[in-house]
Amino acid sequence: MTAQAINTNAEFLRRESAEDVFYGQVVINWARWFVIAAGVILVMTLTSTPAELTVGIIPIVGLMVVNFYLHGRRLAQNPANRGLIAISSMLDLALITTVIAIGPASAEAGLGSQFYVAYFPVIAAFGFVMPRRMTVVYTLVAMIAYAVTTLVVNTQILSGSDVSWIDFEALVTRLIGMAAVGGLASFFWWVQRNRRRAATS
Amino acid sequence: MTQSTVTRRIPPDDSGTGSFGVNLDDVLDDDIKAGLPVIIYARWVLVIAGLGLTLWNSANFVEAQVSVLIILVLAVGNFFLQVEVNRERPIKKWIVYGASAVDIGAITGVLLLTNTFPSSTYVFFMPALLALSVTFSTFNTAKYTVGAVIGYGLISIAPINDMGGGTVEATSLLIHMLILLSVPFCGGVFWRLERTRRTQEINADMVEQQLTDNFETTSTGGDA
Repeated sequence: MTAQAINTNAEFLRRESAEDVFYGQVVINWARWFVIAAGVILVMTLTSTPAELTVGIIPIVGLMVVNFYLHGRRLAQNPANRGLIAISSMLDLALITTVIAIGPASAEAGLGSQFYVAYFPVIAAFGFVMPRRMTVVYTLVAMIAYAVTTLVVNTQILSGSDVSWIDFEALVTRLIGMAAVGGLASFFWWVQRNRRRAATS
Repeated sequence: MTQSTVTRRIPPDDSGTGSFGVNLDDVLDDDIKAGLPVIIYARWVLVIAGLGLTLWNSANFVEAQVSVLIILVLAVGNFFLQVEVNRERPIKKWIVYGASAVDIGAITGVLLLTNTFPSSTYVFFMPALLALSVTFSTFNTAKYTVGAVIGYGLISIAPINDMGGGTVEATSLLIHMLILLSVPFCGGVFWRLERTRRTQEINADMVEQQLTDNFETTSTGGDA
């Protein structure tokens, strides 16, 4: 009897988690469209040769293809599973981090790149849809990726025993912002889950 | 009729007149109540991080004084809201709306004071707008978001001009403004999805309950 109750509870949790992904993944799709739009603006305005434009636009077109596929599946009521969503979300982080690392020019790379703002919608969307543990991992991965990229590109931030406090402050502020967005989105996911359970119990 | 049916919650409905006698005003209050802790936590992030960063590395004394004053006022207001929520006392809507406007105004004010572009203070818009978007209706969120975007655009013009702004700065500003729209947009989409989902689940639950009740009544009648 107890084993049956545990199985029923596990089944309920599994179904609830699947429904979270089913309903919520459109938020991730929308966040990715914003990242794509920001990338297109960046590439279109800050490249000056056809070669630069080609190199810059190819990863963005790739991301568009991925998002057409995922958003199209959602609209056709055949949404992607959690694994596919997680992989595509990691792809978002990889692309944003690459743009920050390389930049259209060396002055617009690392801390100088304003493309770091693209982390915010993808972290928020992931936090709305995925369970808290996954959101914590995703947010930490984004923060570590950004911190490492910035410290590697901008070696003057931590140059031996010298620390550029202004740059370091900028980095810390951005990391705080990322953590806050991930934490709040995940908190609201938890609030909504509790509301649903309370409403139907 | 079972006890559970009597005490069951009324489901929300976007049309305002749902199949179970829904009052949209109550639903809106319920949504704000559910989202208010998110706003409060977002404001604590703003207060703690803002105070820490101001005291840590402030270049200008007057700028630091004004920033600290703004942060302390936010902290006092947030403490009041936090206590009211913890005591489960009703909070007037205008206080919540007003406090959120003050948040946006405070971030914009600090940005205006620092008069630099790009400023890292910009990132504090993100948790604030995210919290608003999951608490208020789409229309109200849109008003705050548009206000923040326009305010940010206007206060960025002067420092960009001072820098002899070119394409790089204009592109950065455009991307910043786009992302300022994106976070509350995603929050709003999620807010509406959850509302629809909750409505569907409650309706399904109530239909199931009614069917069970009808079955029980019929069975009892048959046996009698």
